[in-house]
Parts: sequence; C-alpha cells; structure tokens
Amino acid sequence: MSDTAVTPVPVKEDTTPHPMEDWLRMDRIPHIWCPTCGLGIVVTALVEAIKKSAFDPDLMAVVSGIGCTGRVAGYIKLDSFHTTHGRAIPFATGLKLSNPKLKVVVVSGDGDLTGIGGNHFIHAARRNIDLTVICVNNFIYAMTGGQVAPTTPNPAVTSTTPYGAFEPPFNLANLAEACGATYVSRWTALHVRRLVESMTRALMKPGFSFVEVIAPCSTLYARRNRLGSGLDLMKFYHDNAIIKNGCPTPEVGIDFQKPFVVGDFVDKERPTWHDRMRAQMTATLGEKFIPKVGPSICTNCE
Amino acid sequence: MSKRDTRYVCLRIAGEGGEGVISAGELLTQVAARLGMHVATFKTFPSEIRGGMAVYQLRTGPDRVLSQGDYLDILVAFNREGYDRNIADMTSEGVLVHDFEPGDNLPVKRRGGVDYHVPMGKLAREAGSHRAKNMVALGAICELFGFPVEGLTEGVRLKFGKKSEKVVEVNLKAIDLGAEYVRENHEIRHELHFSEGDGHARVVLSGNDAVAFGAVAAGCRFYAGYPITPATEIMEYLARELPRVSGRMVQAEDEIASIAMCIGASFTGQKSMTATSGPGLALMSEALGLASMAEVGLVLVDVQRAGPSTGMPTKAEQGDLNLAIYGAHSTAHRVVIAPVDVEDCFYQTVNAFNIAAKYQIPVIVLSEQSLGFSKASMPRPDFENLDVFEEQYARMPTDGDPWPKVDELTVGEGYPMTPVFPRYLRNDTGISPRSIPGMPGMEFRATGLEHDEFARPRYDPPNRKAMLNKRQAKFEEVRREYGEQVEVIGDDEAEVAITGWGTTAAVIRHAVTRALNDGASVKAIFPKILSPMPDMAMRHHLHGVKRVICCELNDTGQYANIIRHRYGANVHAVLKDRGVPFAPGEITPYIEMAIKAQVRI
Repeated sequence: MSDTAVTPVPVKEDTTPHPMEDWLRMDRIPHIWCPTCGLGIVVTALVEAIKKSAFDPDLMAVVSGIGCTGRVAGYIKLDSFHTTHGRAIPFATGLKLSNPKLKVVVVSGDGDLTGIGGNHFIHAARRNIDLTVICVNNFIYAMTGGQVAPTTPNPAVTSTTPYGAFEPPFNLANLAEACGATYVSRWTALHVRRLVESMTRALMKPGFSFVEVIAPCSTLYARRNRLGSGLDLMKFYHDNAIIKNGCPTPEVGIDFQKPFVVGDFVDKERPTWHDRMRAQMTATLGEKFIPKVGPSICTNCE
Repeated sequence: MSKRDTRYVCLRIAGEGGEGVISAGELLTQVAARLGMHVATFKTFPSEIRGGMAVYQLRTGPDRVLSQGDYLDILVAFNREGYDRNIADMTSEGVLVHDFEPGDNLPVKRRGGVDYHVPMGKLAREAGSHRAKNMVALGAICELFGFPVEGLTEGVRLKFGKKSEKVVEVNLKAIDLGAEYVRENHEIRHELHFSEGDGHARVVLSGNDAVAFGAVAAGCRFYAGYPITPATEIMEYLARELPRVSGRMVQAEDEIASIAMCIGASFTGQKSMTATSGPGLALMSEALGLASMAEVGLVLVDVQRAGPSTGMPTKAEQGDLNLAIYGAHSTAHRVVIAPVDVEDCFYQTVNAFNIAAKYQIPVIVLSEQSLGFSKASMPRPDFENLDVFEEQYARMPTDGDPWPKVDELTVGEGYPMTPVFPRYLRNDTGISPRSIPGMPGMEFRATGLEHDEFARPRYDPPNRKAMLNKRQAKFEEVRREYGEQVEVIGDDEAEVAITGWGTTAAVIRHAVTRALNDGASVKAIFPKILSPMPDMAMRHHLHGVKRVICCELNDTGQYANIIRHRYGANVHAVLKDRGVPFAPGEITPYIEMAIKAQVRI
C-alpha cells in the first residue's frame, strides 16, 4: 500500500474518549484538514447546534458537495451524502421532498454553493425548501490548490489571479436574502458561541435558512496573500469583525483585509415549499390530494 | 414483392389548422381502440409547414400495428393544400376523399386510384356549424370504408356530451349527412375496408403517456425534470397524477438539478424518475456517475430527438445510444433498455424501475420522438399481475444474527474494524443490503468517492479493485437475468440476419414477416436490453450467420458498431438520418440483397 494517495494514520491506543465520540465517525479521525483550518470549529459548532436544537439525530441528514468543506458529511455520524461538485442543494431537495420528516442540512463551501452550484442555491431559496445551508467561506477554491472563487475579495492573489482578483465578489448574505431565504446570518470561525446559537436558530427556522461562516485557509489564502498563519487570520477577525445584528444585507459586502460586518441579518416568516404546495393542492384537488406517506420506518409529517 | 396485406389500412387526414383535423383523427383512433381494433398513429409534418397545416395519420389492422407501412391508402383532404402536400405519399391505387371540385387544375396529377368528392364545408353548414366539417368527413369515412358508425356516434356523445346537447346534435347530424351523401352520390369503387375489432376495448396512449403511466404503476413517487421537447409530456402527465397518489413532482432549474434531486429521493428509498432528451442526457452524465458509484437506483428516460444540439427537436432519430451506454467518465455502469412501441413503453418503464430497485443501478430508457408523440392502442394493463419489485431494506442485527462479515481486505491496515453497517458489502451478486435515512444505527455515508464496504473513502489499490469488481458483478448479474432475452423470429438456419433496436425493431419485424411470407431465408434478432448486451444469446444466434443487416436511425451506425465489435459479425449498416422513421419497404430490398450476397460488408 505504498502508492496510496491518502496514507492512513494508525490509530493510537488512547483510552480517553473523544468528547464528541457519539457524533463523529471516529474511524475517520484524524481528519484531512490542514492545521489552523476553520472547518474543525465549524463541525464542532454544528454538532453543538444539533444537540441544542434537539432534533432526533436518526431523522437528520447531512449533505455536502465537493471541496474541503465537502468532507464535513464524512465526519459527522448521521445519514450523509457526499455528492458531486455543486449539487449538494438539489440532492438535499430530493431528500427533503421524498421524506419531509427528515431535517436536512447542507454544509458546503463558497465555490461549491455559489460558483458551480449558484443556480441551485438561488432556486432553492426562491422555492423556500426547508433546508439549512451552512456555507463555509474561505474566499478560495482550496481543495484544488487555491483558485479564485466567486467570493474572493479584490485584489486578493490566487493561483488563477496572479496579478490580483478584479472580478467583483458575491455578497452572499445579500444574495440569499434577495432570493428569499428566511434566515440569514454571518459569523466567523472565531465567534464560536454566537455561531452555535446562530446555527441552532437556523436549524429551528422553517424554510431556507442560511449561515455563512468566514473561515481561515492558512495553506492557500493566507500564504498566497502573505497574511500569516491561520492564527493571524483569527486575530484579524478579532480586530476587524463588527457585530451588527439586523444590518441591511446590501451593506455587508467584504473588502480585502478591511473591517467587515457579522451578525444575524435576516429572520422572517415565509411559507415553505411544503406549506405552499399543500395549500395549493388542497385548494384545487381537495380530498384527491394525498399527503406524503414517508417510508414505513418514518411516520408521515407532511 | 409480396402482395400488400389489405387487412391493414393507413389513413391520413389533412387540412388547415382549425378545421378539426387533429380532433377528428383522435376521435377515430379512440373509437377504433374502444371497438377492439389495433391502431397506431403518426404525427407527421410536411417538409414545409405554412399556414398552420394539420395532418393526422393512423394505421389500423387485425393485429399489433408494427409500423406505419409503406404507403398511404386513404387520404382525406379537407382542401386543395391538404391534397397537394400529401398526395405524393399515396399509392397509385389509393383512395382520395376530398372537398374540391374534381375538375380543378391540380398541380400534382394522380395516375390511378379512386376519388370521392364530398362537399364537407357545405354539408357542415347544413348540419348547423361550419366547424363540423371534420364530422362530415368521418361520416363519409364510415360509409366508404365500413367503419362502424354506431361506435363513432357513441364516441361523439362521450367527447362532446359535457359541452352541450346542441354540440352533440350538430356533430351527429354532420356525421349522418356525410354518410348519406356518400350513399346517394357514390358507388363504392374500391376494396379497402377497415378490419373489425375483436371487441376487447383498448386504451389509447402516446409513448410519453405510456412511460408516465408505467412509472406510476411501477411505484414511482418522485419526479424532477426540466422541460425539453419531445419529453415534456411525461412531466406534464406526472404533474397531474403524482399529487393524487402521494407522489411529489418538481420542475427543477435545470437537468443537472433534476437528476440530482432524483438521486436524493432514491437515497430515501423513493422510486424516482426524470425524463429528458439528448442534450439533457449530456448534462446528466456526471450525476449518472455518482448514481453508479453510490449505488443509487433511478430511472432516466431519454426521448431521443434529432441532434446534435438543438437539432430538429420534433424529428425522429436514434442518436443517443452511444451517449447512453458509453457516456460515462470511468467505469459507471448503467442499464440501457429501448421500447419498440407504445405498449412496450409502458412495460419497459415498469421493467426499468424493477431493475433500478433490485440492482441499485441507474437505468436509462431510450424512447424516441416518434414514440413519444404518437398514440397507439394497447390492452389495458393487468395491474393485479403486474410484476413490481419491492426492495427489502437491511435490518439491524440481533445477538444471534450479527452484521454480515466483511473480509480482511476491508478491515485493512490502519482501518479499525468498527461495528457499523456494511452498506457496500461484497457478496456473490454484488447487490448489498441497503438502509435509508431514519433507520437508527444504520446510518451510512453515500459518496462519490471510492469507498470500502463500510462506505469509508479508500484509495488503496486492493480496495479499488475489489469495489470495481463488486459493481461489475452486479452488472453481470443483470446480464445473467436478461441474458436470454433475445427474441428471434424467422429461419433459425438462415445465413442472413437482420437486427435493430427501438422503433426500428418494430419496422424490421414488419419487413421480415413479409419476407418470410414470401419464403425468404432470414432471421431477425432483437436484444431486449442494450446494456449490458445479452452476449451469450447474441453469439449463439449470430453463429453461422454470414451477413448481418443493422438498421437504425442515425448517421454513424452506433448499434451496428456494437454488433461489429462485440461479435465480429459481418455487418452491413442501413442508416437513415432524415428525421423520419423507416418504412418497411426501405428495409426489404436490403434483406433481398443480403440473401443474394449483394450487400457490401
């Protein structure tokens, strides 16, 4: 097994149980992420949020796309689907529509969700499918070696913008709100307590809820832009993140290494896809409309 | 050449849009089916469509209608244009029923045949509405060709009864006037006659309806799709039907989302389907790879149209065979089946769901524009005895009955053995036990990454080989189950064989049946499944055959190449790629030439 791409690290004999042993696929730990990557924090925060939200873990599913964040689905011990690049949201939509009893969480990166998967993102928000979408934004395509992303601030250097990025980036919070998300927030990997609370609210919120997590990528984003280590980026978040709950989303765009706004931006009521479908079908079909009966192991909830 | 089988009649109605051409044709088809006749229709368009020309063609006979035949027997022309644009397709002995003065200076002269003039417009106004012109024509058809007028009047009542009694009256009067006019003014000078029905009522469906109907019957309860001609009607049918049977349908933002949603739905144990045409299948190719890798079954219907790109969306072609079978990155197994006619659309769709559920594999149903758009009669399916596969999920182990044992390879160095559900367990058949979300203790991670039996991502060579073998074993299992499903008609010892797939197979059957009646030594070979090919049976039936004719509707001989490279057969490809299906008469000369060893191999 000398030519394996990923060399498995032998598991050390250690009798101390991992504090999150029940929630992680321990046979997959240690994970593949770089030292000082923000993704471990995001996984921990998500597990804490799931615990707080008190959903039955047997009726939860995690879907992710491709990329560094795409690996999240593999480490959380829930039914999970590691899909193709950009398609996490439509897979999650199929899951939710076929078994409405499930609580479906999408965890993926900025490039996956809003680059290749941008079309699915805006349409799922428009339909208001009952999904919680967690977008880990590290401003770069990291898994492929650090290319420019739809979120890269100008003029950050990436491997495909060696002279500095000049295309305007997405303001993801504004995009999500404009497309109809019921809950929109942004936190960083530093704001752990607030992030957990925000994720919990997002999980509990009916409809398309969206949490953007700004996370450090030390290996590519920080190194190419000479921003130091992941720890230096955390310090930067500490000094420059301005907490402004309820801030209008058009004002929360992110500039390169400038102070930026975090907070809970949007929390509104809007009928979900299921609400609207049920109402319309009942109005026109009456008793001929048959609610969804989930698989026999799950009870119907539509 | 053999004598024409006069028991089959091919009739075309042509006129302006708005003259009721389509509704008359559909009424005739419905009634014929209800009376137990076999009928198949063809929506055809003259090369130039101007002024909203409408054409409806149907062929009926005492047995399953395999093709539209070679010639038009009867042309009912509502006006001069209807005559001018369609007369070239008629036999010289054909019967013309028209509504223009016989002395008109016609640009296209007929060399023979019989003409009947029926003043349709005038009689319709007499009946009470100029819009009843089509009914006058139907009345005349009944009188001229022995179509049961009682069936037609009942059909009118069923069709217009909901509107008002007045409409029914006008239409019935128009039918009477048409029939009466023929009785009083014409002597029957032809031999054509509709064959009688056998009294077993049949349903009339288009190929697209039959696919959707079959899907619901097979237990499909989730559909996601994106509009594309000529597949859209499948989505429209399911949008109406699924909410009534607890199913859900969503029109996705694109084809990629469509198949992704279907894979998501299948992951929860729901039987799901999407339908598209060639360009959509190309977009779905990546996700098909995931379905193969994560072993999620689903049904993908490709109603082929003439391509590439936008091509000719309303025209027929069998051009997606290569894309369906080979359009994969790496080794992504998918099953490909192709229905031959409308009835087959229903049963092959049911079959596709069964294969998808049983083998946890994506199944592509290759339908065609000429099937999707055309209506035909078929016996009402026997739902009681329909073979529908229901998947059994894995169960939590009990003390005396532990998880199935995985082998040492999976445990592997550095991969601790964990008491988790072996979702991708390797066994003889390659079909592993499956759980769905919501089953406590049996959660797993479906992934497009190469994985081991516990669904853990693994890149090491032994595991890769073992898992590839596992998926291949499953594919071979499909081949074993369908391996004998090759239909052969004709002379088993023949040196000449003819083969084809999809709608062309039905036309070949028509041509071969005629050739056999003439005493020709030929056999036709039809594989029931195109991927995996039933190699054993194909080799057996091709053994001793010196020349093989492969007919298909594309310009490169995609199927012919498969027959060539898999069986080393001497293949002469008969290709047609003009947007219209084969007529049996186009195939017959090749059979004759092959028998005389005149075809070039």
